[in-house]
Amino acid sequence: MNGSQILINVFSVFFGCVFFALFYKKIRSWRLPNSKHTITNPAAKLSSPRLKRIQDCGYLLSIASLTTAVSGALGTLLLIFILIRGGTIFNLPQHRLLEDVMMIAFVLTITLVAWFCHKLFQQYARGDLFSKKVVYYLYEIGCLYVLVAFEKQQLEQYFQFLAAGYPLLQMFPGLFIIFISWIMDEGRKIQEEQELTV
Amino acid sequence: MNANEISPKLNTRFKRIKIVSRIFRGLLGFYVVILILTVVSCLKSGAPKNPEGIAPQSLSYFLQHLCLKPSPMPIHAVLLELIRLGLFIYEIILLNRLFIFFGRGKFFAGENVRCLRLFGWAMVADAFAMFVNALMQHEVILNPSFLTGLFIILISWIADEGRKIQEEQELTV
Repeated sequence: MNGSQILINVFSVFFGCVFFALFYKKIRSWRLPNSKHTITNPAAKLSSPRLKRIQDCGYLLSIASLTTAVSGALGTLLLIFILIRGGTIFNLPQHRLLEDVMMIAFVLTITLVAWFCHKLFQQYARGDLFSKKVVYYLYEIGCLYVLVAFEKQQLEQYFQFLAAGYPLLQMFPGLFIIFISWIMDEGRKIQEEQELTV
Repeated sequence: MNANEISPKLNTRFKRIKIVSRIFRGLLGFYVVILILTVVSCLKSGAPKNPEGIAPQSLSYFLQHLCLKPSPMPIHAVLLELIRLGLFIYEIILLNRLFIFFGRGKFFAGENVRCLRLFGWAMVADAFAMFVNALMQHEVILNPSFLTGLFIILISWIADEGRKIQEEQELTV
């Protein structure tokens, strides 16, 4: 084990400990009832078993997505570190910077998707199902998914395990999520306007 | 102002959703027509149009190689690809139905949410079939559609639960 590997291990353990300490504190604060964030009725949040189920599911998924986001961030840092040290990510006959940068961008975009998923599930854990923030996070996830599909298309020739296909077809799920977020937003606005109409 | 009258602003929103749903349905129809024309032209010419440019795991590759004699694909791969083709057609039907519901102004109604959930499950099944197919050919292929399908199932579940909560609250005196 050389010096840089020891450094990476120490950094990972330290970062992991700090992360779990902050994470535990944050989760405890979410679990406390907060009357500001409710779907429609503050009393309903505490009583409805349906909402409680959504909150529990959102809570678990937010943990999973945050872990993925942190792993992705660490992976991005590691790739940048390798590149700075003069190494190469791909085992190609000649060093190509463009492919390396594309790989870093791919990992970074996945990290961002995981981060926005975490924010979305955090909203669900708080009991916000159709708020403005939920729609915004869904929209961001959709946009980033389109970007992931584009980057994946560029990387497919180096990584055989990534499923190949037409770029537009791969972008479709992202576009569909954007569409669903828009429908949600419109539905929310219509409901707000109907509530205001006498 | 009459309380039952729909406000102009509300009407505009409904109209906008209706127009966008129609555009999406049109695009979907256009895509299906293009796909059918491509397959028919390949079958007529008897040879794949672009064998190098298409991935061997894709549905297009399967459709373009289906009628080649002798078949370059093993029988289990053909069966799995036929299942995938069925799922693909089912997905198109579900999407079309979903856009019809959106066009009618039903955003999170029961049938709408069911459509969304089935679409998610179809995506998951498609990704799983692709994975099994690749595994049988001693390859490992990860399809992000699996996670996207699960995500769509989750969103449909949230929408369904939200609708039920609202219905329960409306019934509560």
